[in-house]
Amino acid sequence: MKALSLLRVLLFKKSVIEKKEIFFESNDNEALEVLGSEIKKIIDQLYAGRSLRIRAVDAGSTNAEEIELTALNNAYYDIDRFGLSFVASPRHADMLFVTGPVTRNLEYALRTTYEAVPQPCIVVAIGDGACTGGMWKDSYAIVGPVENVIPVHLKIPGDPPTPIEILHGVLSILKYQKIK
Amino acid sequence: MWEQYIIYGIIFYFVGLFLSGLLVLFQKKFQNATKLFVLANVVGFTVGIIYFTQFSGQHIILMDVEWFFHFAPQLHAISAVFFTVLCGVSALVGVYSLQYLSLYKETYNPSMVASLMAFFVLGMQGVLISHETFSFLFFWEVMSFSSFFLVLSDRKSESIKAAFLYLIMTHIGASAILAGFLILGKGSLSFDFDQIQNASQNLSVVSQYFVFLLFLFGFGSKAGLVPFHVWLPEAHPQAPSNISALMSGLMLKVAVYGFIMIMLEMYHIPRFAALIVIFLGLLSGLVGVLYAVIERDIKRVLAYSSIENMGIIFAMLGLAMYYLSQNVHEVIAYGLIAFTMFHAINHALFKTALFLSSGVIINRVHTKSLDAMGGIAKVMPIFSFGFLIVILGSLPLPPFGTFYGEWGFIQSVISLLRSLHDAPYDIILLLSTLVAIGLIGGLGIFAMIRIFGISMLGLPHHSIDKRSEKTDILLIVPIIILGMTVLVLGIFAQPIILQISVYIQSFATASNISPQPMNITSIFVAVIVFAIGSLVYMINKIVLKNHKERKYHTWDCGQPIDVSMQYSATAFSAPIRFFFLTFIGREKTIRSEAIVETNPWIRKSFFALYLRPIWIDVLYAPITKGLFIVAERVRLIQSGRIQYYILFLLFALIITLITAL
Amino acid sequence: MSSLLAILIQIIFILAIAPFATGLVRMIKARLQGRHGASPFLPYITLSTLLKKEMIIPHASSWVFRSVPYVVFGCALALAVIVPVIFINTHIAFMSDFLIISGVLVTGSIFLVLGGLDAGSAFGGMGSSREMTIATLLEPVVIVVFSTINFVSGSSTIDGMLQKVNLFTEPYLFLSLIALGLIALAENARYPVDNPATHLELTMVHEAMILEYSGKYLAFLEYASSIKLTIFALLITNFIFPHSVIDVQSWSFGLLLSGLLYSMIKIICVMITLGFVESMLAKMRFYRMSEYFSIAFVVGILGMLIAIISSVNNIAFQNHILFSLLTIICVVLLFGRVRLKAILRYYAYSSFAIAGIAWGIVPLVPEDEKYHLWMFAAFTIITKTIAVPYVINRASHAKKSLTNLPSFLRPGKSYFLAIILLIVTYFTLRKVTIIGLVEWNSLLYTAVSLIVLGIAMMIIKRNIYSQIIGLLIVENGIAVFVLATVGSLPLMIEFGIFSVTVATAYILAILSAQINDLYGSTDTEDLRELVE
Repeated sequence: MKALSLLRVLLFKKSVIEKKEIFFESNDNEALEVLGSEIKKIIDQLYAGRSLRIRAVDAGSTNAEEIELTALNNAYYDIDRFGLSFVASPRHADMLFVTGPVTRNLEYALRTTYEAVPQPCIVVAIGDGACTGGMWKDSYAIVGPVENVIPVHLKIPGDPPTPIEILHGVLSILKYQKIK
Repeated sequence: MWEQYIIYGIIFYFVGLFLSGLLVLFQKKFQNATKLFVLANVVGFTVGIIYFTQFSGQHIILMDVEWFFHFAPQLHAISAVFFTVLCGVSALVGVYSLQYLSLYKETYNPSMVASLMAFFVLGMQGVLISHETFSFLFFWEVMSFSSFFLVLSDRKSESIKAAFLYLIMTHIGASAILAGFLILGKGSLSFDFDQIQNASQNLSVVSQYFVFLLFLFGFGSKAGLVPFHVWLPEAHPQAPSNISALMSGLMLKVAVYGFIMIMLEMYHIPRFAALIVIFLGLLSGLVGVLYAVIERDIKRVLAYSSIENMGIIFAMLGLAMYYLSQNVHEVIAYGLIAFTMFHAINHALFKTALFLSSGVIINRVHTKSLDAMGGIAKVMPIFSFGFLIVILGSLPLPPFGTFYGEWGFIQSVISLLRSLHDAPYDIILLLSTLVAIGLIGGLGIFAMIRIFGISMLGLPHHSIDKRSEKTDILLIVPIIILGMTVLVLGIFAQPIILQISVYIQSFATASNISPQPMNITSIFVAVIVFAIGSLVYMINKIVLKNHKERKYHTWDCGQPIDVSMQYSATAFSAPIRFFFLTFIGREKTIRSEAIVETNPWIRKSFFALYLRPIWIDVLYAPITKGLFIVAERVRLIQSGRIQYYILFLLFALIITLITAL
Repeated sequence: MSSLLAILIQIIFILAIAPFATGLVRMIKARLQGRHGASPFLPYITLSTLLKKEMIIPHASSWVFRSVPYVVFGCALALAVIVPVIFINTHIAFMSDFLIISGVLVTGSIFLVLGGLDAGSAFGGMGSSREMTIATLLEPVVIVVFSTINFVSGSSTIDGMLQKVNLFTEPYLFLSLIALGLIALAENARYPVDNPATHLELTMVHEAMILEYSGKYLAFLEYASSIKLTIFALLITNFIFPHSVIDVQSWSFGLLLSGLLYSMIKIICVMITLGFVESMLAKMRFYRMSEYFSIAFVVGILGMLIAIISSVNNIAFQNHILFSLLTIICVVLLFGRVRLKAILRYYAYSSFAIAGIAWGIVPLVPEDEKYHLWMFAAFTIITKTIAVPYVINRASHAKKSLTNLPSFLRPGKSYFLAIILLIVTYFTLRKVTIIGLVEWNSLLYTAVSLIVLGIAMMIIKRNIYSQIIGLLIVENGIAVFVLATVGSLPLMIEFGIFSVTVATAYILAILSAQINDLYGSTDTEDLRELVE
């Protein structure tokens, strides 16, 4: 009996999940920066981003962003329901999530990863480090923000940005942007 | 009329082989002799084809000489099948040798190899057509000796060791065959094979049994059945690749031919003997395939795979014998023999092609170790395509010929199971056969794909000779032809197998039993495979027009990778090694020592894996040990005093007198 | 209707439905994890997105790399053509020979393996090696399973099998079907063999091989694996409901619609089941895969043995025989287990099956005995499936060390030992005819083999706790024996036996726990040293 009621909850109730609408509420998003006009073209080409596969690249972050990215997969934020999923190989990816200021040691890794992703590909810089260099700006050990190494289409600032902010940022440029 | 042509053709064939063997000794260049060899084989092949188109299984007596011994060679349906295959394959190997031998001028003596090769093929064909003891054994010895010299043709110490092991084993086998014929012929050397049935009928049950076991040992040791197979993985890889191809592809078939003849001709083989054949066959299959999976020398892998295929062939023959000896399910049993012969033909083709391919590969990478290969497909795309066809042809996959051999085996086993009536021992026999054949098939796929994947694909572990593929065209064409022939045999499998089973029945029995129908249309299978291929092509060409491509290096997780991180042959077979650890002799050494003594954490590690075949410990070491112990005992009576020897003489005299009187 | 049209409809249906099947499993799994999950139609968009992207070809690769997606997709397409999933009796029915199908499956695996090796990366090689091992070890299981069905139906084609097989008159085919299910899980790279959603390269099998593919090639490969999954789902359900397949010869439009509808329902049901199964299982370590294949093999071969024996001896299959088999199978499965809880669970199942035997022979006995049998069944359920496991479980609770019952043999070997024992028992018993028992020979066999297995279990296990279980199995064997001679034993004595069983189990369990407290070990090897 217990199992049955559990199944009912799991299959038909969604009480544990964050509501979808919250990702689309336009709280003040001045910080969010969409770069370039080609992004629209790419998204149109990829069926308005209804199904995108993401490869996360750590270019020297503090792991704070990674924890937030992991949280995207859990039952509460559930990135899966928007058609987004993380994959194991850049060859399968349509979108790169880059975190951290690009350190000199990881510059090559970041560049090869970008080259390894089949075009068209959307690059999202996540976190202050990736957007501007953050507190490491002008350090001798880093190359600078991600755009110094590879072209960036979207920047999501924050140190680290919350999962809601990340999802909001990503979804705002995808299909729901058009719906609005 | 046709009979005359065939006789002349065969005489031309043998004279041609003989001449090409001698020609080399007088000429400096071996090419002319090898061309003659090819020509003779093409003639022989044509003769074989004429035989099949004009005759339906009659015996053709080629000549009848009564000149200090009786010599009357014959061509009949079964020997003609093997004869034709041998001719065709030898012709292709001849073409291959033209270039192969000139590539290895330094290592081998090309004229010597070419000459011995001609005599080797002469010996094999002689065995096929001879019809009485003396000529049979004469040609058998020609075959054995020429191949013995061929094995040691690179004059390295390992080759000499392998060759002598081969010589010993093959002569024990030959003496067993001789003994068998002597018992059948009551001591006569000119014993006609037509008499086998009568002669064996007159023997007591015990001696029938004994004779059969002698033949089983004789032909089985030549074919590489498991307890007698030690020479095979040593000798075959040591020979030049074209010779390995002949030995593995053709010589083993001669042994199979001999066994089929004995099996069909001998009167009432005991049931238990058939069980021994099945057991040895399945054992060879399992042992052969297991070592083919884990072995790291490409030619040894192929040699073990030969043992595996011989195992399957003998298991099939054993099963057929088991039912023939009880006079039940004869239709299925004869069908099984037909499937066996079909499989033997396919094996002759693909195994030859595989060994020839191994020659091409070794020529490019200059090593036999699979661990040091890789990346050849990029340098030699055409060859790799041919090799892939051959590899797929060696596996039971539709629409290749090999598939129908295994298909026939499994279908026969199932139809035998269905016709059982309360015979529990048969249930166990058939079930274990079924399971073993499944396992052998699966592991065989593993072994073959491992060879192709590791040697052809990925990055080269070793430098590859990067000369253009066009220079090797004579090496590649025979391989592709052989591979395509396996495919064609697969397409026409149904009519060919039916025809073979008709031959076998007309050979074995006077009465005509209608052959077992095959409820699978091989041509249609090929048509559907082709149709699906073109469907995929159409989908790709018409529906999907996006062909944007970019070249970039292999995904490396951001850290440059090199060839040392690629999977090697040893690593590839690791899971199988783990799962079958009980049956594999393995010695693993892991040693690690600190680089700087003060810091124990940074260490240099050393790893070595040594595979030691298990039968050496289980079977051969005890035999050697036992022999030594016996020898020690025997030495006791040899004290060196003359009086003792005279005493022995006296004893011998007394015993002789007692037995004589 | 012409066969060609039927085949075309079948291909189009499979091609159209395949991505939905994959999407559905993913959605069900997401729901069971408490997530909302993506829509089941997502894979369609994923595939079309992939088709629009460019392809990246590794430098190390050769022409083989490019040929792989086409061949793999071609193999999947070939399966869609030749496997009778919606229609039977087409003109290419003979193509569905099980060896051809296994050949096509293996060809697909082979080319995937080559594709994995060609890029020259460590991951690809690892995945290839594993995939090849799985395909290799599956081969005997595939052959045994389909040979069984071939044996029963007399046809070597799936088409003929579907026409002649009736699972409910030949219940032993359920065993073959279970093995077929295990094959399907392994072939389609699902749990517990492979994790289709893994991101860790070291745990990958199927994913590792396609790691290097992108764009159109990747779309081909993913599509091929969805097609394969769909076909396996339909194949297995077709064996359970052979009547839902349409005969092409008696075709009508309504039948066609109903056939498509049935197929939809079958796919949805299988995918939901698969989602549940995958949510409940953990992925097995790759080096424990031999156990998985041993289980699949043992189940398959048991099905075959039973099929052969029942056909050779002309045994009509009745309920009590089915339950006797279940009893034996549960004990065999218990044989290779190590965890006490698993062992107790199987013991409970087998006892439950004994109650089933009692129920099965009710119609065969005179009126006044029936009441006796009902009582027997009820008591068996109460004592053996509930009380005894509970008692032992309770007694073992205190000690953590008791949850593992190590054995002298590895699981695979124990299963083989069990099967050898079963075969030996069969041959020793088949000549014996005990008067009064002739009708229920199978019960005698069950009883004796349970006793033999129980004793063998006491021999091969090291822990004294397993000695108790062994004893209980022996006792179960005796109980079956009692059933076979029903009527010769008064009810009161039986009742006594049941209470004695519970009491013995309790006392022994307590005693063992005491031994553990006293000597610090329950391992018989250690306890042996106490003698000296």
